[in-house]
Amino acid sequence: MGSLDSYIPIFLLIVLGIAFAGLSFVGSRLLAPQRPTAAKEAPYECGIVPTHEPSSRFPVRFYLVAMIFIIFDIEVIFLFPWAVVFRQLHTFGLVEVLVFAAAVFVSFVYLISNGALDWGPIKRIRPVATADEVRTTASTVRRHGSPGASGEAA
Amino acid sequence: MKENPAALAPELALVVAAVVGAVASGWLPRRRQWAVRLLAAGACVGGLVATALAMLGPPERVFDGSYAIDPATNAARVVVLGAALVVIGLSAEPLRAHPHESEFYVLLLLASAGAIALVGADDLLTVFAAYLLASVPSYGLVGLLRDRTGSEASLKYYLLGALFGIVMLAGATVLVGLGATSSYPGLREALDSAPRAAVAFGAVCVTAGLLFKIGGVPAQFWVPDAVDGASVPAAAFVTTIPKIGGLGAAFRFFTEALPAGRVDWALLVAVTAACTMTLGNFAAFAQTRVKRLLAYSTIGQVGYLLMAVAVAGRNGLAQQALWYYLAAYTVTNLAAFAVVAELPAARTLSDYRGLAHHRPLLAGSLAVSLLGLVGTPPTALFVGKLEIFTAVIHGGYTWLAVLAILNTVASLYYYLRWLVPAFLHAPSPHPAVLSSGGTWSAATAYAAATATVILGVGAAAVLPLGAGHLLP
Amino acid sequence: MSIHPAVLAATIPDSITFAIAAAISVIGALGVVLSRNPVHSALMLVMTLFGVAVLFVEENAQFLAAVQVIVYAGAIVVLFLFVIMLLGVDRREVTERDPLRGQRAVALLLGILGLVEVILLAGGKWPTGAHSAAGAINVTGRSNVALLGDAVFTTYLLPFEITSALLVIAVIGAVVLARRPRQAGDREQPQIGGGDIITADVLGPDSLIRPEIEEATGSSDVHEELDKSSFERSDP
Repeated sequence: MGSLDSYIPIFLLIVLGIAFAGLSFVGSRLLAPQRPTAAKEAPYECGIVPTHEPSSRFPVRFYLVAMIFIIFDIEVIFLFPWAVVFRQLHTFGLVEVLVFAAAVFVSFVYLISNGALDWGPIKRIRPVATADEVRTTASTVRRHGSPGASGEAA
Repeated sequence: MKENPAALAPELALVVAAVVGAVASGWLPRRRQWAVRLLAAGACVGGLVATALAMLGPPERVFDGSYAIDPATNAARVVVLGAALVVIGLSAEPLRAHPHESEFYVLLLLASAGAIALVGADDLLTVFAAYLLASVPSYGLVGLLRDRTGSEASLKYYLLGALFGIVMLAGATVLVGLGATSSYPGLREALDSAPRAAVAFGAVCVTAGLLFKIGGVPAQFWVPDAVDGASVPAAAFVTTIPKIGGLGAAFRFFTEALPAGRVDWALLVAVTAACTMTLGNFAAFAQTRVKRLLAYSTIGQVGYLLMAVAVAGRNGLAQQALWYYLAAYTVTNLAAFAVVAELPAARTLSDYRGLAHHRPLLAGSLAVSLLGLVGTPPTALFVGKLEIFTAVIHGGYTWLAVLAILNTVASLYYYLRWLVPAFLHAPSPHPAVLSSGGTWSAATAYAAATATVILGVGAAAVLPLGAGHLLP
Repeated sequence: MSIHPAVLAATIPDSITFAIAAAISVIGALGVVLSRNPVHSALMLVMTLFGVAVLFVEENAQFLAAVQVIVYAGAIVVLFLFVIMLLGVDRREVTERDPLRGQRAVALLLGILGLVEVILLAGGKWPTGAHSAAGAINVTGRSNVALLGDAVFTTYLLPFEITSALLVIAVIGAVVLARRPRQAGDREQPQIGGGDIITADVLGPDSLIRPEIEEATGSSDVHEELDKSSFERSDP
């Protein structure tokens, strides 16, 4: 085959990367003074002592975004061989890739119009009190600068 | 190279309508999603018109020979588009104003396009792409309501689909490796000199993937769970439209891609058919929930349909029998599901007590569809069964025909378990169980039941439409 | 069978590369199965995929190698990690008892059978000196990517365009299955994206509060209030 020669730079890069990481560890072990104390061993040397483990579960929305990323990733991958043979295919190739791109665009429009890419609390939303007067935002949410809030705080 | 997108007008109509529907769904308010339903129905009608025009033209191959437009493809278009119209009709009420109503129709259209593409595909890679196009939307359709049972059903359906998809792709890889081409005519030529064991391995793997689409043994596990867990419209969809595509694809694969006499696929399909019909019919005996009973009943029906595939290519009868039976099965099965959709609160067989007393017309439709599934004379499946049995006996599989007749007689038992309470028992003390789902599902049930009878009476006119040679 | 010395000499660098890449893939695969921590399994999978990418390069399938790294090692493993995070890393799988009786014995048996089959099939052509049944792909001297582009955009145009439809379906399916269904009344006012977080976590049950589009001025004010309320609620 012999085509592997062109991958020697990549191979060297991998070797360099591994060597850099390894040397850093070995170097710090050899050069740094080793006098551990309890404070130094702590995960965070400054700041608040953590009282509980952070929640390790992600909302499903992250998954959705990752999923959408893969879909667009695959779409981009297809453009690569197209670019290589573009000159032989002429208009025909342009038309077929435009059809393909239209599909990408449609899925994007669909995502945006369905709010799949919106994050965080909704803007432009107003809680409205309904027939149930006992527990609404009007009674439970403290209002900014309203007299009730300061009265409670005092 | 022959690229003629106009030749794919019915498929394109479905895809374009689906894309427009997907874009529109983001802006349509929830109560106005019927617009997408209308669009979907319009696409189906437009596709039917385009198919009628295509039927007048000569058969041709398009897209570099990877897609055949011949009598089988046109028959598939008619049956799939008709089935999609009926499913749209019976899903009007159950899904009205559901947050994902538009998406249901979008996925339905795309899956229908996939089912048609399965039949038309004349190339292993195209078949696999069509397999995905027909499968992936189905997983979404089954889980669309996002209730517990629906999600579970969707997951099971998806996992089995992924497994059989990989098996199918592995088989296709082996065949392409042996034949150095993926087009059916090329494979037929090249596989003649290839090692027999490798050809058999590839063929069996591809068949496994198609059996998953069809819901035949040993890939039938998803059927009861998916049908029972999904909403009625989704259940009606997965028990009809993918099967049309899978059976059409299997028929074409066996007759066009495999060299004659190289591998005895006919025996394999015959044994599969025998197992499928027997398992489906006998498992249906014990069912008490109507959707599960219908699920096992469809497995039984698939067994009969596979008989026609087993004798594919042996005589001209097999192809026309297959397509006629598919059309008849589709409309009859959908009539039964439309009745189920019309009575959303009735879930078990005993809930149907006294249906004839409350809703005589609906009970009549149920009787027509269930007796139709058995194969009682005036209905379409009677003619369909006659055609298939004749083709099978002519094809030299008399034992299979005898088994199928025994199965048919046995199947009467569980259909009657449903019908007898509906007609003979006193009305239930809780009439709310039989409350109506809405006018659309009722109308669909009446229309589909009527179509079953019309198709049976007018069989002589319809039968030749499924005949005609596949492209060599 | 014997190999000609000249052939052997020419293939020595390839053989070494193959051996290393194959070892990396197999070690990674074992790591996926044997790691106790699911995150480690996912990272081991990256190793396997990388090894396979090197094998692709060796087979002159550069495009596949790039896809392997970009899509599989890059994106799909990230997806796996998200799933692991979604289910919780802390959840331990009970591995003492099989969900299916005799599962491991059957798996072992099938594995051995498969291995025997592969060895039998490889038979006399063990050092991969045999030609593929399909013949060499690269006969014209054009690059692998150009050949692939030719195939995808001419011969397999239809499957390619079906793929674009599949990607649309994947997007719709992901939204339909993964996003919480819009709350009652939500679709009456489209464009309220992300409503799921607010209605479920901050605003509480539907019966109390109905989201409505703020038409009047002062919307930023409201935004602030909601943010505050989310802090206050999460406190107890």
